[in-house]
Amino acid sequence: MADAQEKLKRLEDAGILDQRQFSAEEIALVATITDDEIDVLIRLRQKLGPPSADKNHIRPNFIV
Amino acid sequence: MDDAGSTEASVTSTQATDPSRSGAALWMKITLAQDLVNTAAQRFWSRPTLPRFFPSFLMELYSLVSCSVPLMQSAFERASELSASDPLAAVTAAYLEQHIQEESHHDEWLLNDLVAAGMNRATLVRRAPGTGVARLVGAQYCWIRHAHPAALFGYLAVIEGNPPLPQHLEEIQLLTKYPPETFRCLHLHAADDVEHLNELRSTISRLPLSGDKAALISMSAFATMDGLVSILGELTKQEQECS
Repeated sequence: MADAQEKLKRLEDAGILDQRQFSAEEIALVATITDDEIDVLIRLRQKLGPPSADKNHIRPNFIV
Repeated sequence: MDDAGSTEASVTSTQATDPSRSGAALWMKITLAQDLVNTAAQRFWSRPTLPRFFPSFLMELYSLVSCSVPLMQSAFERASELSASDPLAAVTAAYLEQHIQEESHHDEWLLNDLVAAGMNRATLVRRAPGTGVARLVGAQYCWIRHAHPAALFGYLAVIEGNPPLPQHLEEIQLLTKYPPETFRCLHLHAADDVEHLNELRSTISRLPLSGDKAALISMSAFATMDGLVSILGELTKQEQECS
């Protein structure tokens, strides 16, 4: 559990995961994300820069 | 695709063993990647100079859409070859057989819409996909042939994972001043993708996954996310260099 909390904190600190957007069941799955995968997500987040202050980024918007 | 290679280590991961939990965990990772794509796309759509580089975006979009069915066809063929002795390949083949039908001819619809907007049909058809699209799609061909065709689930989940709302397409239309005909296929696709996404999520959540295959699909999702962000970034950079 400590491991899961640590992973959750890393993802939250990096601005990748907002606990409010996920159910408790989904949050529990964070423990299954490997450290390597978290590293990749953090690198991608850093590449994008900080999330915008508004909430528009939570609106689905990728057109294909 | 700067960071795609850095996911390599995760392919050797063997974490998940319970298939239902493994599928749900995979979807959780994909969701995190989808959110990052959303952030990048929102930044793209918010640029005041969007009308100037919107045609370039449409050309990239056409390239991506026209590559999609042949890519899925390749994955379907490989999955079919493996399916007799590989349950994951069998599920992959069954899903793709249906999804190929759903996605067929969307490139032609989009082409017609772009022509209606004043773009040249022959130029669009003749144009080779750019490096961004080639990297994105080429990585999938590599994983399909040299790893497992189920890798394509990661690509599909990210590509189809954030369908725009009709209201957002209308906002883009107003901003770019393109005629409504330009957005016919996009509106249809956006509406369909909500259903497709539900089907995809349901399929991924039930995949008979080993830990290494789950890691492969998440690597595919992360690489796709990185590739899409690169394409949006490249378009923005080109626009800045021209202005």
